[in-house]
Amino acid sequence: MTEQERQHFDMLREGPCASPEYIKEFYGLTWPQPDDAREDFKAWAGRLKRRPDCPDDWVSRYEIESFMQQKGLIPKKWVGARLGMKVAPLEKLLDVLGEIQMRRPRYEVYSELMATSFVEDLVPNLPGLRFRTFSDHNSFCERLHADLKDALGLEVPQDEKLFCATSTRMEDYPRLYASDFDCLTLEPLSVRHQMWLDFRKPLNLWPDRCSKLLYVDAENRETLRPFCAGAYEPDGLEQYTRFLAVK
Amino acid sequence: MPESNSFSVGVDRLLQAIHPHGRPETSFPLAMGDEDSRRRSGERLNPWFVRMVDQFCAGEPRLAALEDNLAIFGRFQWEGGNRLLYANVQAIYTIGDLDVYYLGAPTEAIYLRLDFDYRTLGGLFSHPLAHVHVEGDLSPRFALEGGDNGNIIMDFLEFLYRTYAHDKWLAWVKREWSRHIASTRAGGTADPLPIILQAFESSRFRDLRSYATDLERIKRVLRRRKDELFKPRVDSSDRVLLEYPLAR
Repeated sequence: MTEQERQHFDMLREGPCASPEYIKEFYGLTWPQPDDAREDFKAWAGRLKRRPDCPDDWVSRYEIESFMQQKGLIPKKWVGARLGMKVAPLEKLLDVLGEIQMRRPRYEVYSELMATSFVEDLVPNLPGLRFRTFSDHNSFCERLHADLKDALGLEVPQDEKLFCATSTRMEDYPRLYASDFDCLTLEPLSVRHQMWLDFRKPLNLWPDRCSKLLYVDAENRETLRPFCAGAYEPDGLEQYTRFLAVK
Repeated sequence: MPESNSFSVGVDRLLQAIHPHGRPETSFPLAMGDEDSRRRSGERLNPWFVRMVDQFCAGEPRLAALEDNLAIFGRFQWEGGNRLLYANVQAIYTIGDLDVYYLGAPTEAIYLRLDFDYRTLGGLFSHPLAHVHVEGDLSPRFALEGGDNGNIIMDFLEFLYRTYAHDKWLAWVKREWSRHIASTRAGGTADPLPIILQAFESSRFRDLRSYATDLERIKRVLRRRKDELFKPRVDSSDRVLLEYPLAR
């Protein structure tokens, strides 16, 4: 792990409190929050019976995630990941949402947070995606990007597509789109290359994930093994070990 | 991409934690012993919950919370990789937040326990495989729904969600059904689910009769999906052996 990844690891295993820099990088959320969300979060958090005592301007990431889950919200950065793109093309998509009879204000609840229903509602509103099923996230993203171009004239440039950093490094063909983010490296991460970590986070919140490649790299495995979700290592780690051995 | 594969993120994470992966025993929370986790004779519900949270969750109720008001503690034994030999799953549902209940607020709460145990068969046909208690050992044992299906863990979790988090369960149903019709639909046939939901909500049983075939299809789709989500199971013929009275 790099120095920064080590800091993230130490912070996550310590408890729920996270620095504003981490909140920005991992969730894509400004902290303290922008004006439009601040009062709502404050009122919601004020009703909690037990709150961690976070130092200085740090905040409980568990509270942020609970707030999002209870209000049916996710950060724009994560919405982008579900659509295989970075935030910039997502913003362009939001600009033209009206052309497919979707109302932007309904989904853009706050400037950095969107309704979780957005992705599910987007699919049936795009003619090429309607009544389709997708074998995996890659086939969904490819089809979505093609349909955004056909239906809305919106092109997602190659450098604004969100690819899995591990897949890029391992030179997968085809390269895998990311769907989540690594909680240690903060890099985009695909389903295939991820594993779940357990930092004693509340069970109903999203699992923390890291790259299997990071996990097997050097001394990381010994450090991270006690934090594997379910206390067992995932299957198929050999390919990552082999990859590192020949590099 | 949906938020979760199953009824909720909490269930996804629970299934990951208790999956045997070659281990003879699993538990949730981790390293939870049998003796200590059982509700003792005469032990009231709130002190039991506080004891469990203090002992196995370091005083943090949310480590066992599938939902803000639904927590679970389970122990499992496995054989040959995927065969379930023993299950003891205790669930508590509170009217209000689990945190508040833990702190001692006089909140209503309900306790349920799934038992699957070859070593306690009781008198003739008194202990269905599997059964659910609604209080301590003296409460009646209700056979778990699901007939002879061996996926008792998913069926119990689904029962909890269908009963106590119906909105989330229904969202899962809609998601799985829409995925199914997207892949099988031919000739623009109308989706029967919205009409079926309306018929349920307005208690129009006669209308439901005319959708019997569709209801059967929906149930089959959901059964298949649950069985894909969690493959370990019990020997279903053992369930049939102890089934009483006959249902067919």
